[in-house]
Amino acid sequence: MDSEQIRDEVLARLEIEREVREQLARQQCEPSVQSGTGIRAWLDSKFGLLLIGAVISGVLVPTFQFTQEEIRWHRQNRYNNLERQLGSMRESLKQFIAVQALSAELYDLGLVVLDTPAAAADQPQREQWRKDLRALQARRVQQNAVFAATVFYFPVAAQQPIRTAWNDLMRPAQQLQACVGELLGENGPLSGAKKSADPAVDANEFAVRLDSSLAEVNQAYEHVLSMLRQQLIEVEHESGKFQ
Amino acid sequence: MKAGNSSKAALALGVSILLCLVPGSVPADVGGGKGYPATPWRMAGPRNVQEIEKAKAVAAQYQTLSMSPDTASGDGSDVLRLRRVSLRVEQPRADDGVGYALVGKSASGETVTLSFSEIESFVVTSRKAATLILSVTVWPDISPQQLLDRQPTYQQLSAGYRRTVALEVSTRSADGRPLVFAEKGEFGATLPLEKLAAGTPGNFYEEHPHMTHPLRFWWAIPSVSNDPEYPYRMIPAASRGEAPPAPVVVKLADR
Repeated sequence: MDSEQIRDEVLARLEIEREVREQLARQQCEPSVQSGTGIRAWLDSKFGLLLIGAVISGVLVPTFQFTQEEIRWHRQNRYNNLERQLGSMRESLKQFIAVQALSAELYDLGLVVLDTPAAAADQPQREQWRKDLRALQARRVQQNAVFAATVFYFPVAAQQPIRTAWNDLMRPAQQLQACVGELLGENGPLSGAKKSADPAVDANEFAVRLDSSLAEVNQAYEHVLSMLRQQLIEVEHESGKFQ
Repeated sequence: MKAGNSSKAALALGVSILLCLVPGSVPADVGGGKGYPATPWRMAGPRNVQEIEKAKAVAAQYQTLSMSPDTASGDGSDVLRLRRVSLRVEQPRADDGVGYALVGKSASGETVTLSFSEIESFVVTSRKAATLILSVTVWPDISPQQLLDRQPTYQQLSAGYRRTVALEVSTRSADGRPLVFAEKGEFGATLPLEKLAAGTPGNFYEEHPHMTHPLRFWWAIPSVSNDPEYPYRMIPAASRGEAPPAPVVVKLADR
């Protein structure tokens, strides 16, 4: 073997050694590639796919469906509650208007008594008016109770202001009733007023007291009505979010 | 027989149509009163000037002031209605009085007192540090004696008897506390005079004519209130034909 041949052989070996070193260095730099490739391989495997499919169809889909059903159920529940509350609030408003209708009847009765000349109103007629007044009083008490019971249907924060405004309405309504009662001599003849020498002055005083009571009832009624309407609008607005 | 039946049917139809038409021509009954005029003189007019003067003093305590403090244009979008309005200090003490008049200085420097019962409206024309310049419309500008002597109708009273006064009023009381327009009652609304911007209008006759208090109208003697044009009437609120709010259909979008 001559020296030339030996040199070539050494060079070839050095070249192979260098390549091996380079390959080893590359493999040391990218160790995860080999492991990632392993997971990917496992995922690509039939067993992996089967397991993934089972997890999706057996756990994720039912969980998603259950959550959606729960949201839907909550929505439906809230909607049903709002629908019921709105119906009850409307019923309450109706009962409230019925209360005021009784005040209107009371005022009408007072007007009839005032407009009938004393000579034209005989004893049976006056007795009939008194009966009408007592019947109206009884209906008013019942109707007041019916409305008062329905205040619970309004949102909790609004209940106390409604009750306060309602109590403010009761006072002039009571005055109106007392005024008609006095006109009919229910509480003794003309007990609330100084009796004047001129009957026209007495009649005017009663008419003005009756009208004043009605004006105060009207104003207090408007106040309560606006509160009830405001609450209705707010609940309707909330229910609108479901549409 | 057939002809007889058809003529009977035609007659019945005619009667039905007539019955349907007849109530339409009758004035509607509002179902809660005859709409008597709102006046302190409902069944008997005033017998002397003193009675009118007394009624005028009482009327000052029953006025309703409508104001739009946030909108100087006064477009009515947010009207504050102060019933049985008074002028008082913001946080009154037990011994503090309540006023029912605007007191201020006229352009000539003279002190002028205008009772709420003789003010129709006012506008804040400008404001200074502690005063407001108001242009006040006085109506009805008629004395109790003139009212009794002239016996005007509502239309006559409405068309005339009006004058405008420029008034400089203080926004604070003598002891420096802020003055407010206040509604009667423990929880009544208040409106500080200091909050009134230039251009803010105030009106004493903006309330619904069926919602007013009869004691307001000291000037509505029989010659005024018997005028068919007199608008202030006593009608129960529930029978004014206001329909309750329409039912709202609530439904889920996915129902």
